[in-house]
Amino acid sequence: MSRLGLVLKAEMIFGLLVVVRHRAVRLAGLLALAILALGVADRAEGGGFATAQALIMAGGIVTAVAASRPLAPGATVWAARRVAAGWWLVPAGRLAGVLALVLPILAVSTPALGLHAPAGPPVALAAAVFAAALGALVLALSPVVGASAAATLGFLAAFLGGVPPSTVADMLAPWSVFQKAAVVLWNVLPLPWRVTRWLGGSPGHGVVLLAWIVLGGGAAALALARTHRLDAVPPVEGR
Amino acid sequence: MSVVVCDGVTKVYRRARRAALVQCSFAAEPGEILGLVGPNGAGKSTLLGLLAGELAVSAGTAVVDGHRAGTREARRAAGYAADPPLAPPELTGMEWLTYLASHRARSPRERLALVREAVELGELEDFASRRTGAYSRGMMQRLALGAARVTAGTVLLLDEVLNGIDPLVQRRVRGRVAALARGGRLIILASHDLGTVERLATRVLVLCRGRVAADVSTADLVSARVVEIAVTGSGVGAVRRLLDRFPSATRTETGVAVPLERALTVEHVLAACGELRIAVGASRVRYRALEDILVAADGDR
Repeated sequence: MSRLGLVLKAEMIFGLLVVVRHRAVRLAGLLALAILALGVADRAEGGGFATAQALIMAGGIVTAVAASRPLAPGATVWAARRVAAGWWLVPAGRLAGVLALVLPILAVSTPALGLHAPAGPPVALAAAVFAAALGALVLALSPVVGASAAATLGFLAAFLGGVPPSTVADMLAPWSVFQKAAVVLWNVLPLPWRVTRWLGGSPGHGVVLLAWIVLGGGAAALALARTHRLDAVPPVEGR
Repeated sequence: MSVVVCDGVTKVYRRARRAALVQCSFAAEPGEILGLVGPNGAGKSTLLGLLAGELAVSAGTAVVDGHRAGTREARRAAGYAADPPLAPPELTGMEWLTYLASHRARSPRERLALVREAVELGELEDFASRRTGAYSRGMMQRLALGAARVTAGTVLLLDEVLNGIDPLVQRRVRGRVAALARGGRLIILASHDLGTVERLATRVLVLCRGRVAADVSTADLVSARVVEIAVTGSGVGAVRRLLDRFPSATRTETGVAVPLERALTVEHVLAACGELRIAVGASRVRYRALEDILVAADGDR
């Protein structure tokens, strides 16, 4: 195995271990399981609850809580600094660790729920891209705002983000100041409504989600670098 | 060639508006064990943090293995055991060491060898398979020592790492740390345990209020002698008179300790006691201790 492979594997395993051994992630997993069970029951009874949305919401919730752990302030961020790896290696490896937990859940659930998109990409693929985008965003937020706050924001995004921007605009019509800000946020963030549109046949939404993976990973690397930035250090002379 | 060079290093904590280090200059060679001692707030941990790249230098230059402290290359050169020690509580000691070793090793075989060395250094065999969240203070210190070994290139920065370890293990660990230095690494050890520093260090920097107050080799330390005078009866006034007579003397629990410098002998000191009409309860000659240097450097006579 090459040195790069060794490092990436180490980061991925590190990410996976700190995720699966945290009780918040196990609780989120239970909640996701309940949502999936509701989706299955609703489908069996021929109800109107969209099963694909249930899968996306469940995957998003687990991802949001899990992604808040690998760069939680404290020992995990300290570890990233001590190993002095290349700037992209830590975020990429640890996000892969989070996805190593989430992707098998999505891969197993999709056929079990009998999901298939009529026009867009495979449901499991779209859900995986969404999970990666949301995970990257939460990963970038956690060293800055703390693990609990980042997990909460990600959780809310996964839970409430299925509502399309037009509905948000209607709901907040009486409060025009909040309405504008909320609609802008809804149109920018990687939210579940975008996956639904993508599954409906609008590939642009998939591109936005892919862009968020890169953006979130880059922001996480920047957040790690900022914690040990060197200010006011004069250059070394005579070397 | 010096592996660590500090030239006029100053660190100011902006929020606290306090200078933790002021114009600190020294150089250290491979193979040395450099002890850092000083009272609380003297700047020992700050100095180690700067060399490890955890803190930014406010002024001056700190160089580790030829690279400016804080750069990726300098951080890769230095293994750092922080105080308090840090390790993710979700991982076992072995997983933590394996993770760190993966970043330094070039192959799985080398990674395994690094982890084995770290386990041996900290004597971690008995608890390495347990999660670090369940470790005692001493176990964490030993793990931190192993982790510093795994991540170290040419320099090991150890902050209070031998405290809290039981005496028998500590004795064996000291031997292994000394062996690492003999192998060509520079060890910088900050500690309040002066006995440990005296036994282990080849050279000691005494820091007081952020400045280097003394820089002594341990060989010089043990070659110098001190006469301790226990004063009976007349108390504080007698001690004061002796301190005035011998400017390099320091106060002890029972009297004063006078360094036998230059031509000064025990007889001279006892004669001075007679001249000053001080009743001497007991006297003994011992080797100079690090505590004498620390007390003198701090000006706490």
